[in-house]
Amino acid sequence: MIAVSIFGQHQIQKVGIHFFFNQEPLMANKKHLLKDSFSYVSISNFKFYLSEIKLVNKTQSKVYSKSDKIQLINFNLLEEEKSTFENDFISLEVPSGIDDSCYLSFVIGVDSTTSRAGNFTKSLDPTLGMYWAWNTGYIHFKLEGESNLFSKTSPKFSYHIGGYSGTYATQTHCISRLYFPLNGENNPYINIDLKDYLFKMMKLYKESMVMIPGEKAKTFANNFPMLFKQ
Amino acid sequence: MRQYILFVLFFFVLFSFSFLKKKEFVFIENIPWPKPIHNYTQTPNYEAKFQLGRSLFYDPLLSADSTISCSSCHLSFTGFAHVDHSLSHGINGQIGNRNAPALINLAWSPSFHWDGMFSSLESQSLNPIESPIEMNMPISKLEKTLNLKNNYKTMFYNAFGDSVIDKEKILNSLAVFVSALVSKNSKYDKVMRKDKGVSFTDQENRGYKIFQIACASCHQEPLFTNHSFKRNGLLVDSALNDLGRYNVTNNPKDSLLFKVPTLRNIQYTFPYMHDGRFMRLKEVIKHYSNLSFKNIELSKELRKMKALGEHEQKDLLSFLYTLSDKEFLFDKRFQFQR
Repeated sequence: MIAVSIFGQHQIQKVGIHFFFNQEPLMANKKHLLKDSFSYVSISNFKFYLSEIKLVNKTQSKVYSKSDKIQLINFNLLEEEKSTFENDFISLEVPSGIDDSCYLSFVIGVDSTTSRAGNFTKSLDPTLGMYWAWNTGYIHFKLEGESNLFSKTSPKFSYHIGGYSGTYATQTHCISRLYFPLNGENNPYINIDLKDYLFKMMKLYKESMVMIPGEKAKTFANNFPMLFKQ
Repeated sequence: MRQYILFVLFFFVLFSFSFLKKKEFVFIENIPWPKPIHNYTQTPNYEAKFQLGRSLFYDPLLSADSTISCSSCHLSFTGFAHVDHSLSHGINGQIGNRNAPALINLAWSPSFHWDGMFSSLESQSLNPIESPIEMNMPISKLEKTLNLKNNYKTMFYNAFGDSVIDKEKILNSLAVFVSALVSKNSKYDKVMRKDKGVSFTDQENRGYKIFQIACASCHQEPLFTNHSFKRNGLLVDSALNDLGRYNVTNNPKDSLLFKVPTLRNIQYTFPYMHDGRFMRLKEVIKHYSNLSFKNIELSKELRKMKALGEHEQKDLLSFLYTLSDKEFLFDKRFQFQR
């Protein structure tokens, strides 16, 4: 995964993204059983935007690499869609020869300027199901699935977290400090485990649908960093 | 023999012309289309009404708490469907019980909504505006709200010659806007009208033949719907308990009948079916392809459906993608005016 190609003084650093539910590899529509062996959670749709991705020196806070790209991470892509997206990794151009500890910082969501700009290309293509409307902008984070913890007859849950203006802008600069050495041998990756985050939100709101900007969406956004683990 | 062929040809041509006349066709770029049912293009101040309708369509003022507009569930870039959302949204995060339908070529539609509850473009837009689980805005309140806005008073004056805003004018201008949402420039259209350099691939051609045998009886060209109501073989979602057309007629025979949607731009109007239960188009094809194995009451066209093999399903999918019309989907005239 690391340093697959070198261009002059720079090399491409890839950071993989692995998905889990309760430390078990996350699989689309699979019923992930909970402790009581009766309750379950299954995930059918999980997408989110990553932007302002930076690779920063741990001690000196020097930014080695910064990407202008806005990446749409989609956990449940079809096989034929995978070639279109950088879906399960972050790719950064970094100066070669760096071997000190760095951390990755990123933003989950799309900033307000981009939301207003109406640039509908690449990951911002509104046909990808992450654009609401001109006054609400992009859905930063979408999580959908089923759990009988909500209801046996209506187990579906949908969390669409977004909004770019006003008090409830949910685009959050949640910087997740992920340290890893760039020695060309390790395969750095980020673990995303949905369980703790989802349970905290379920406990907090007991609601299976949060699909508009507002106070709840903001709380969902403020807790995004819980998802990202080393 | 030659005389016989000429004789047959003569009657074929005669039959075709009488058929066209009977059905009242219009020619859109040399292709016969049925005559539109709702045609506003000749009404006075058409352009001013179109622009007013567009402003209203994108304005959250139409909802009780000014948070959502018609465009919240009808996104221009996806055929005015609510892409990636199974059920329509309302104010306060409320969820409706049906998938927001695409708004494409509505000028040809004799009825609207999945159960055909409305027969005019004016009445169909009143329902989501007033529905408590959608925009929850009583039209009388909307009249008062808009009458306080100088910009709207000017726009209504330009459109109707009268700055007093009322229900009829609001609904009429919305009808003018949605009736203008015409998709007719897909690859399919270009192939049919023999545009230079445009042709189906072998796979699309195979898919077209499958479509003509398996789907065209309900999804008739060129609109890709015959506007009828069919029992599509889906089991009732116990949470929604939606019986479709029965809700309108109270006739048990109409139970589980839902409107045949257009297939134009179907690539972008996911999720599919009246309750948005299928996220991918291939799931829809699979559903119809395997109907013969299901013990469900079906409309007669579907009872004749034969199972399609994996390759045939892919070919059909390939043809359906030729119905995507990017010129329509990204037409700036239909978008929010920044």
